[in-house]
Amino acid sequence: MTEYSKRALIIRIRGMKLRSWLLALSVGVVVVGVAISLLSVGSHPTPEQRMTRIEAEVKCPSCDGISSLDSNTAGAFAVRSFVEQQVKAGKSNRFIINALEASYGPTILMSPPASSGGTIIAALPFVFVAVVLGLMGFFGYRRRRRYELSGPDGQPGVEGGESGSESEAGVMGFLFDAGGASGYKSEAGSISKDSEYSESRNFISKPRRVGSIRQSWVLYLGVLLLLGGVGSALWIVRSQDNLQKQLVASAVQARNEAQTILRARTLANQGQDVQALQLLSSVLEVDPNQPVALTYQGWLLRQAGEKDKNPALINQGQQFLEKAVKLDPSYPDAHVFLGYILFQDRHEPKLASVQFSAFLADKPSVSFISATKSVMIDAYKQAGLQIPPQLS
Amino acid sequence: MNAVLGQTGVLLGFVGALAGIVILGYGLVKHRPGIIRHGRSYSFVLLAGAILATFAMERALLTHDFSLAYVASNNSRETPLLFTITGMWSALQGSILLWGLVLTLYIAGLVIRTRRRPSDELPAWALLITNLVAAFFFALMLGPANPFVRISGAIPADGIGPNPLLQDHPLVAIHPPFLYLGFVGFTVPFAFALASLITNRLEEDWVTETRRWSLIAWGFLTVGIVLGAWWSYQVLGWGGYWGWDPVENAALLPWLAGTAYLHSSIAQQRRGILRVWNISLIVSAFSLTILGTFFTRSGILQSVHSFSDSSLGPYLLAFFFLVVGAALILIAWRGDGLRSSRVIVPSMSRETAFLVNNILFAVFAFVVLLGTTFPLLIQAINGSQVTVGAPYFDSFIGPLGIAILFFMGVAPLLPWQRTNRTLVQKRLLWPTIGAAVAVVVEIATRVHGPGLIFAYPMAVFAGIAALRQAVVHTIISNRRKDGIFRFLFSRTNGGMLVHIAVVMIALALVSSTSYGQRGSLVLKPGQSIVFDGHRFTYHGIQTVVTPAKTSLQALISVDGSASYTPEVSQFGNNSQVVGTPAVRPGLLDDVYLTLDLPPKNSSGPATFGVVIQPLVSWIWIAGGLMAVGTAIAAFGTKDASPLESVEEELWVKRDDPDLSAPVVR
Amino acid sequence: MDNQDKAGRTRSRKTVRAIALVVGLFVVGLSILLATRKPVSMQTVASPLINKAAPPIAGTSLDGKKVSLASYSGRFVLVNFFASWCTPCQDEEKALVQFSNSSQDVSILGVVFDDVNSSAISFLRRYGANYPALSDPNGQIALSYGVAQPPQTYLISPNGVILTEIVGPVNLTALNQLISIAKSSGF
Repeated sequence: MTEYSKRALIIRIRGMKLRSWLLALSVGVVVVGVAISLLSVGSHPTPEQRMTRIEAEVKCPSCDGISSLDSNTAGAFAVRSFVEQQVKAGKSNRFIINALEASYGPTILMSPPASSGGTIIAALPFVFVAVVLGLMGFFGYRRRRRYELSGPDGQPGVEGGESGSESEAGVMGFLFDAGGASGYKSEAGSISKDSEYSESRNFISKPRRVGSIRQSWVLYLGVLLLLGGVGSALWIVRSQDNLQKQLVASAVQARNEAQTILRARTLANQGQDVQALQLLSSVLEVDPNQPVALTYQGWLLRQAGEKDKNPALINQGQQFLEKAVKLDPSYPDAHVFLGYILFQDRHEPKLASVQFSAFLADKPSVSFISATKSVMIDAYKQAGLQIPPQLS
Repeated sequence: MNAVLGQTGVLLGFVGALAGIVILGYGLVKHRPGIIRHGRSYSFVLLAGAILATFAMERALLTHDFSLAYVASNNSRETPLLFTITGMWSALQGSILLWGLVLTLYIAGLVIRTRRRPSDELPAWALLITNLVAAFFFALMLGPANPFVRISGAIPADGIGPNPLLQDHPLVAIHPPFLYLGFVGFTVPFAFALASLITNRLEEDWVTETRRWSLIAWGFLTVGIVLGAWWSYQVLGWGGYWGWDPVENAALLPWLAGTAYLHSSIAQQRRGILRVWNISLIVSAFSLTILGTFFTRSGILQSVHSFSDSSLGPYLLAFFFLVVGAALILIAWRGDGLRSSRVIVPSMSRETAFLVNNILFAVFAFVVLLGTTFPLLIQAINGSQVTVGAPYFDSFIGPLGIAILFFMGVAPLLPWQRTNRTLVQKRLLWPTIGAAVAVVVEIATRVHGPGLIFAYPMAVFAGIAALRQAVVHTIISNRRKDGIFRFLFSRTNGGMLVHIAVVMIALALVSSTSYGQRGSLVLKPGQSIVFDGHRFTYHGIQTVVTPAKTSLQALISVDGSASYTPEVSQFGNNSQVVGTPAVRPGLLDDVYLTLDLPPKNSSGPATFGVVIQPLVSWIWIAGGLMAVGTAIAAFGTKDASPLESVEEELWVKRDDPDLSAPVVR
Repeated sequence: MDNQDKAGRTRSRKTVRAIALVVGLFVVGLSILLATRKPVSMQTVASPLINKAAPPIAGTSLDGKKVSLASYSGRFVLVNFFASWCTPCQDEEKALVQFSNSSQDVSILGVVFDDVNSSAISFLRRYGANYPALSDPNGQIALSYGVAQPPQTYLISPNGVILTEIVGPVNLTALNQLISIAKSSGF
């Protein structure tokens, strides 16, 4: 050791001590200060803080994605005054939010409630972090182990494999440890400058291997799968798209009729005729020539007329069904419902049988046939016709 | 005439792209330099087609050629000149045309940039891939999004005019083009990434080659996003500038991937590490632009600015799937070659910092993507409809943002590879002291809210760290007699300037959202009121009629200054009433006024919404700084090698032996 | 290249492929999810209040009388949220007035949504509406019914249950049919 470096060593220790102390002091101030500030944030919010918090959680009813706190619409004012009133009445946050959710549904909340995936959306980012860190930790550890066993070009391996907490401690020690000039792991393990550069050059100039057979298979199979996937996806989506185009008459008042009708039918099956009828009217308003909607509208009206002993409703129902049959002669439901009206209300078994035959010719589902079988057999019998083979 | 011209342009572009693909493909597969060279020239056919189509569109708009359906629905005789020109990107079809134009400009730039090595296969493959992308967009214009469809039936005497929101503010003229320049710009680095996989040149070539391209794209996207925030602040009337709307998220997602890539790619350039990361990140950036376009164009998400539902959804989705699928297959195919010769040992080194950077941005992007698509997911699962809004995003992005600020401060201070304790301590000292001072000030001024408590010190920390790096860098070059400008405008300093701008945005964001005041003022003409330290005087109301719109303007002065005019307007044939806020910008705070309820008559009371937010203007200023910083990072003077720069810093205090010690080996 | 390194490469390749596969599956899932979604404009959501007891309404009508929903018990009530400034409200008002004049067993109760009382009164007068309408200061009634934008109409059964919610303008035939169906369903 030369005279110069001896002197340098002493000054270094002193100099570093001062800097380390300053650094440690600052970090300490930051940590303690933040801790104090956090503790001083009251756990008992004032009514105003509570109101602000609830308002930020509630969407402005007529807006897209803007909270009642941030909006100046009438709906937002209503929410704010409701929240204020309830907070002053001593209601809990949960109670207030539940009350609003009860009248608007979960869309009124700015973040999904626990019952509609709130827990999932809160947990998924943590799952993601855990998976990423886990994978990186696992593969990183494995690779470092490998380097330890045999570094490239026979270099001594990098000392790795410290677990997270150990390396954390290492970092802190590294920051504040004034003494040890040597002996921390990474430097000992680092590859010397020269060899590293030559290694990297060497790596670049290394002749590339042409893809092995197995490698090419990955490519071919992948491309095949990809094209197939895209093709079928496009086909499915396009065919759905066409269906929609047929159903939606007006682009301006676009509504998913198929879905609405489906929901109306489900409601009708559950006996919620009012709801179902309203949905169907909304479809017919957009597209007055929607055969499925016409059919079910007609059928629901007829049933209502039966219950209510109201011939006007039955007449209306028949008109709807006749229109539906005219518009789409291949839709079996319309035929069978019209047949029912003709047979049971109008007592015209011959006309009814014509409809039932048309119904059977349109290949209805087996369950549908079995549900309507007995009425149809009666109609054919009364009309004096032969009973079709599907019914026997 | 315009229709024919435009159709010709689109067709020319499509054919040019196809010819380029076929000829380049043949030349590349057969390794024939002559054919490759030939194939490159078709990019100019593509460019000519795009320019012709754009010219036809603008000509149709300027001459009010309502025989084109697009012009009839996005222009009217009353539309002012500026919004006639911007009509090109007021709706879907024209936007796709703009996309096509920008893409062909980038492609032409790529051909010109690589003209000195016309038979090099890496840029040739990249060109082939960009041509594929161009072919997709021109095919869209030939089919489902044809901007030159003639109107069916009689030609109307006047058109409908653009959406009122799109003819309300001049920012409409620059915000979309910037955004598109950013979105489309990622095509080039993406194409190079795939080209490197195809040609098996997996080292630093493609990263180095596309560094500038990615910086340009990123810079445009950044400015585009900031301008978008500014636009929504000036137009939408709720006083905010970021609402985690799906459309905003759609622009943010590629930006996040791009930001992560810009950092992570430095590690590959310098040390040859993080190769799979880099390819994945740039593929993500590009595919997320496609996904974002899908979000905005398919109408499947509830958004304030979904201006159109369209039939493009399936095509964009299929393209997204194709892009990601192709990239994944290529990555899987070249899996072994991507392995770097080095490993990252968790330590206080720059490499580790880059890894942390990647993880933080990946989590950030995941949170945003999850929040954006979650309503769809939950609807698919149990059919219920939910909103995912600011509270969810804030609760995750807040802590993440603070972590990013911290690492943004620490990372530039860390030396490469070796953990040099002395140097790191020295560099960390001032930023840490700054953070400590910030904490003390916070306690003294009783700052509340857990977010604020962390955000301010971290911002100060990151700001001082970036500033310190820039200053030291400049001093060194000055001492080395390189001239102060050599390093003042060095690429590293460009990056540090961007860091400082990010800190400014963080400070402004946190301050404006936490210390904003919101209120409602009911005033009769001549009345004054003081709200949050500002004096408002209502002078009266006036009706202003221009050919394009009829507005009801309230005259209101703030602190006795000139009048501000919040207004509500009704545009031409559109019955929708649009409110236009008036903003009094200031370096300390912005006063934001809306006319919430116009008076019944000229002497009646009017209701005004007022929002006072501190420091908002600094977001726009910082946006400008980011643009400058990015430009310096892209076109500034070259930096010294990493090792050299460590030594440089030691050299500053050559007489300080404790600093020279580590290099004595 | 020694054997160990070769083994390392194979393993690393497998790793990359496994991760690529996982990401690929994720993207496939995402694409399927997105491809099967319908545009927002095509979706309708039923109000959570349907088949629940109607929230109480009580207050002063525009002409100064006390009105409450409870006093209509035993009759069908159509609660209509409206404003003079809303265009679809103007479209539906004629039908509402006709309906109120023609039907004996259904009462209409108007609720003003975000409007000045004087404008609401002159709006109703213009169409000759003779059914009572309440002012709703602070929009609390609208809030309890989950109204986002006027016009919104609720049909309440004689026993005080919300039968249906109509978003947007109503028309006469639909109203008549609704009432018939509601009656035939036993309300």
